[in-house]
Amino acid sequence: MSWFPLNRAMGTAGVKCLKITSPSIFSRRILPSTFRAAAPGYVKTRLFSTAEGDSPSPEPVSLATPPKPLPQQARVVVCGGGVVGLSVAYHLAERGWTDVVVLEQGKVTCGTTWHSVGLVSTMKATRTDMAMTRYSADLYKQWEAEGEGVGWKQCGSLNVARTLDRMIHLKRQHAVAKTMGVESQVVTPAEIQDICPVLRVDDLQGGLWIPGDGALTAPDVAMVFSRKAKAKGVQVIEDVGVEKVITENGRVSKVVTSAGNIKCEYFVNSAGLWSRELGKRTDPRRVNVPLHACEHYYLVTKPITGTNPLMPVIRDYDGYVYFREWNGGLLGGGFEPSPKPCFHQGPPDKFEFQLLQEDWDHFQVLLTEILHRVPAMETAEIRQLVNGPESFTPDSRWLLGETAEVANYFVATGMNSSGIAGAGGVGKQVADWIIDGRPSLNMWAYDIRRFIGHHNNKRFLRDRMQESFPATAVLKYPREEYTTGRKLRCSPLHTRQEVAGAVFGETMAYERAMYFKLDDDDSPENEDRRMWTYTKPMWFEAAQEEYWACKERVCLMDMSSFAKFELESASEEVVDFLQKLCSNDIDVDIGTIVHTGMQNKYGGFENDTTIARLDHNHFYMICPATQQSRAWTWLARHMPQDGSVHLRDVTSMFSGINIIGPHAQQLLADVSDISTSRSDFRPMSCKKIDVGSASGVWAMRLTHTGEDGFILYIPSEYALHVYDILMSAGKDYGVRNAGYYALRHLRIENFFAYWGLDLDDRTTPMECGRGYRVKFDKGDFIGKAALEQQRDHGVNKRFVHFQLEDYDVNLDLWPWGGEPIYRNGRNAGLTTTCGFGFALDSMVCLGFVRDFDDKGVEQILKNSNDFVMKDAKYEIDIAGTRFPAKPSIYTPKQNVTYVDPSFIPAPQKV
Amino acid sequence: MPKRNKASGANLIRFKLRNARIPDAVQSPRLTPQMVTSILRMNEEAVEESYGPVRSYVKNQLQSNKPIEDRSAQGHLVHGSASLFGVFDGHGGCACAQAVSDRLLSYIAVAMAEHDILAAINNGKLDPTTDLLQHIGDTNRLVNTDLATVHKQSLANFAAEAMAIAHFDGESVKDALVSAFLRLDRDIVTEALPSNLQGGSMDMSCYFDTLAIAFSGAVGCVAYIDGTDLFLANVGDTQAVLGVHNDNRWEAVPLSDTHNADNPSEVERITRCHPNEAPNIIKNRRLFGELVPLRAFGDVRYKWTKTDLKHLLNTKQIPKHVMSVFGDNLIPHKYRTPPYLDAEPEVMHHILTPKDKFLVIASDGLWECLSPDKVIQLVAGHLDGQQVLVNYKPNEGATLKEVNEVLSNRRVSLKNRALDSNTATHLLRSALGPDHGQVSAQLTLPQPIVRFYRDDITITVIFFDSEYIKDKDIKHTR
Repeated sequence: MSWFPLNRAMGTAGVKCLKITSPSIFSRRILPSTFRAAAPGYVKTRLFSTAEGDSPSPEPVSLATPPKPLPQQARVVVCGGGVVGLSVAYHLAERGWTDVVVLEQGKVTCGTTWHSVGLVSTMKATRTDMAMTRYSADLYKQWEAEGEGVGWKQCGSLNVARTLDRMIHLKRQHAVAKTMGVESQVVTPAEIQDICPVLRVDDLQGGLWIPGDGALTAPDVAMVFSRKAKAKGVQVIEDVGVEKVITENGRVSKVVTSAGNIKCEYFVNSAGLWSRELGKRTDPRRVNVPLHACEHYYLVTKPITGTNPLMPVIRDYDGYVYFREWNGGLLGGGFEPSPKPCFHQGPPDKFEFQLLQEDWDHFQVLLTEILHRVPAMETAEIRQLVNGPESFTPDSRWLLGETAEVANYFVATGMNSSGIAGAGGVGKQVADWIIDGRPSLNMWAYDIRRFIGHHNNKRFLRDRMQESFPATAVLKYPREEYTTGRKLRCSPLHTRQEVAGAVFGETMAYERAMYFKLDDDDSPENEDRRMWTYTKPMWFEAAQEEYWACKERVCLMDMSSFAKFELESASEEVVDFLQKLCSNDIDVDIGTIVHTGMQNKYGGFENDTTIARLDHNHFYMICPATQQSRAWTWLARHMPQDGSVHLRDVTSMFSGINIIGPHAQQLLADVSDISTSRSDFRPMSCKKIDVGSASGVWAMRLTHTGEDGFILYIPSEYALHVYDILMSAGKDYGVRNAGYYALRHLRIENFFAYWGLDLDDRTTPMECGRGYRVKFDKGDFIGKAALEQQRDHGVNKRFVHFQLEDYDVNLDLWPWGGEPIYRNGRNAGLTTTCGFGFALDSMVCLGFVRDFDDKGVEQILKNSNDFVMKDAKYEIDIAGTRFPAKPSIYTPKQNVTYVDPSFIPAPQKV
Repeated sequence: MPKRNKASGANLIRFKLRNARIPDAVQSPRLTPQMVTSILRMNEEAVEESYGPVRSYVKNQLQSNKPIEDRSAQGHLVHGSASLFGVFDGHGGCACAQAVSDRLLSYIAVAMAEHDILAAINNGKLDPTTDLLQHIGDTNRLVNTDLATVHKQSLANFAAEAMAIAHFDGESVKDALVSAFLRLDRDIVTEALPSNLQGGSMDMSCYFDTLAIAFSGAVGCVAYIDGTDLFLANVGDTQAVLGVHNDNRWEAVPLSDTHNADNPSEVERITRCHPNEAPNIIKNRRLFGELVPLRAFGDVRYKWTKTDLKHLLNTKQIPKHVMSVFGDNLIPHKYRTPPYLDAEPEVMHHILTPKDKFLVIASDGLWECLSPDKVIQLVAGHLDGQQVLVNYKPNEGATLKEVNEVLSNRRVSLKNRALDSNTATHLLRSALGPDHGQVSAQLTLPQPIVRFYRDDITITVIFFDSEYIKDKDIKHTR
């Protein structure tokens, strides 16, 4: 009936297979009970409404082996017998952890894996994405070669572009793919026509051809994972649901199931659609797993004569649609704007091999695009329209890793409709994470700790589906902001800034002013300038004005979104605690501020923080906004068990105003009655001061940009008062508002690395030029050994400041981070963050330079300064164009002369 | 437009003062959307019962007067295949509209009855009030049994006379409708004559009821639908408009004329009957400066002779306060040659074609808010939107191109999907709003002034079965 091997994999899963006589597009086991026990309101698995489909159900299938009793304990319990859960179990077993139990409430693959389209594409947004999907693809190819039968066909895939911007997007992907050895080719419309004659190409700009991609039969992949894991001793148990996860001292201790309890060390939530609800069933503290189900449609036609069984997978994402060949017909599906979120009240307990009611009216948007791209489908007949629920996350990226709430509670879920392509890589990374305590790639983009509690709000999730579902297809520009789920966390200054013309961006749901509109921004001649683009964005001039105001006058910047913590103890326990966690010496004089990293045992940055010592036993800690959840987790997990150290998240309690610029010193003096001279108020020190009539304001002499100035941390209810006072007092100092774009440009130009953007848990202080902040002689701290090793034997990479040459900021495509760096013609890594240096008058890219050998393996840099600076010519590849770049390992000198107001001579009388 | 303004000045001032302090009712709606919806749907009714060319009908009502003065009635003739739909709009109270809605359809049934049926009534074998007409939908039936007896007797008399003089010959529907209207009005007028009280044929409370009916008034419009024949009998300013679908365009075809001072032929008709009185009769575009419609049931103040009216005033059994309800000047100024008012309907005949999709009958409350064209567009849009309420499933063997064409058409219709599934409610909401704030403001107008903003609204929408009409049409042509 179908050309690829149906049900081959199923035989070994312990269930006898039946020949499917009714025309079904799916290879699956037919269990009559699943037909009858459809949840009310949902479509049963009977996939066709034809007369044939109504033939009597097959006889009940008896299980080949009686169900095994549930084990009393296991090292790891994985909940969810979908392709991801099984992959995690397989990869644990591969590394020798075989005491693993996979629990599936229904039958293996019965949730979403069974209706997956089975596309495996390696062309993804980032290098990590690509590395993971490539791992999956290689694994599946290898299995197919070994005769495991996953239905793999290497038909290649063709991503086409209708717009020039899409073409830029493809070229950027192509540039990154090249550095990883992924074969891909930019093709013209004529070449597209040759590769796939059924496509309409007259409206295309071009495309990207990836010959190594392919498609397969998704449930078969899950079955191979299951079989191979079982062969190593993993138990896969069906018809057992997890009722509760019990924790002790914030750690997983036991799993309560419908068939008894299992004691375990680790728990992996791979429950797909059910994972959010499962997370809530954690005792005593619930685990947030922010995802929401959304309807995903695809259409399968009856056979079309002349269809090439090896037709490539087509992605025409400007029309939201994708295609693959299916049993002699074509399959077309997509990611439409305005999707239909579903299961808002949680998915039904029983939803095995079931689909949702199809809504043809809703599918029409996609159908038009499908027929537009492949006109041959116009005469085709329908085999089935499939509407299967899939789970999506607020930022369309997977949810992986250990949760903030419970130690040893891992998640591997929220696959955003790319479960099959991701499963292999995800399983590998999560298994490594469990065994080694960290994944083998930088997983911050997928780390579940990137979210905080509010992201798990059901209505927020449902609203965000309008953007995160179509994100697979809709072209997202660099740094493009979400429009749904906004205005959630606003600082007390929000309305003032709004009135002043602020354009906001969002981080951790916190609204931050990105820039303030210029008067002529809305004028007709600026109409076609775009906020989101690959070239110079419309905020450029506004950011430039703010930048110069910071350099020459004084600006106020709202820093309220920063995560803030207070640590205290009765006597000096907190000092010992922080000394253990921080690589810098924090046992400093009261009123002193320290920049420090918190390293993991590999020396990487778990957190990059600014700590102010308020008292001998009291510290105030400022972390990047994105670290609110992760930093808390890191601190809490290392907290002394005796409860001697108190940790408080005071993020919402304090608002932050950054006063940046040469006039900041005088402005603060005017409103606070304290001396702010450099000798009385040293840089990197802090004081509790009064500002205007507000008391209890913590003033710290630092700005996070490299410019002089102060950050005031103000109890939130006084923030507006302080802001207004500063604004009116600063009138004659030329005070103005500034946003985060100005901050970003200042700090990039000044070569300040930011956590989450430049730094991650795989980067050490030695690699980013912060070795001077590591105090080896202060006693032991986490990561000391690893850092000593690097100090003595060399680093893996080196953080470098590049200035692009022969570059026109007005005309050329901009670098946005993620651009390949070439050293003497050989790939040496990717950029991390980029921005225009107004004082340097050149485009600045920051990034890590590595030394790869011929096989692409990272070499240790014995003398990183020499490697970076000596005999090296650099180029940075922006969407296929290589620009020469001037490297620097220190902050380059800027041609700006500061005028210190106190030295200006009084005008002489004539 | 109010027919008689009786809101006292003091009330108005009190309202204005209060209103000055409260926020704008449109900007700050006092009702929640759920409250608005439940108010609008309170009186809605939908009957999905195919009967001849009528596929279904819906109706709804919204009050402005308290109690509401609009009424409606529907029924099938037991003998024959005709359906009747009536909308009645009372004034000066609801008594007359109530009586007309109770009685008129039965009068039509009698007027339409053939000889042997009338004979059966006279023999007492058939009850004229229950056996000739089958009411459908909700109807507010009159509960006073004494009054019902009086009405029944009048109807029996009509049946007897009809048999003796001119029973229905099966042809002249128009004449039958006219005679039913006129006869009912005559009965209302005579039942209230003081002689009935003095003759002892009625007790006091029953007589007061007949007085209330006769001194209040009502206009109305009745559709008689039988096969492809549609007759519209209209008295006053209630209107009926047909929705015709012609070459993808919707057209509003009015099937009634309004009988008020805006209609020059009406004014001319009255002045012709009362030569030399023209300046006295129509003042301020009203009859004697008081009454808007120029044809109506009841309203004996413009029908009885001056003698009869004076006689009534002098009848000692009637307490003064009963008559004071009708104002200080019971007899209009310069009341010389009554009757000035009658209930003779204007009857229009229309042959239904498959292009005729629906008929909207509504009291003037609706037409003051929406033009006939707008009403037809709204109903048509609502119909279109209703089509796509049913999930689409492609036919077996359909090609994707065909499926996409159907879906593209549905896409347009999807935009028409309305909040209310009942077409009459949809019209009602559109008439008041359409924005929530406006609807809420309309629904929260205080009682003393609500009548200045809107009248009672009653809407009946009758949907035709085009297939049935097409079928009949073909047979007819053959």
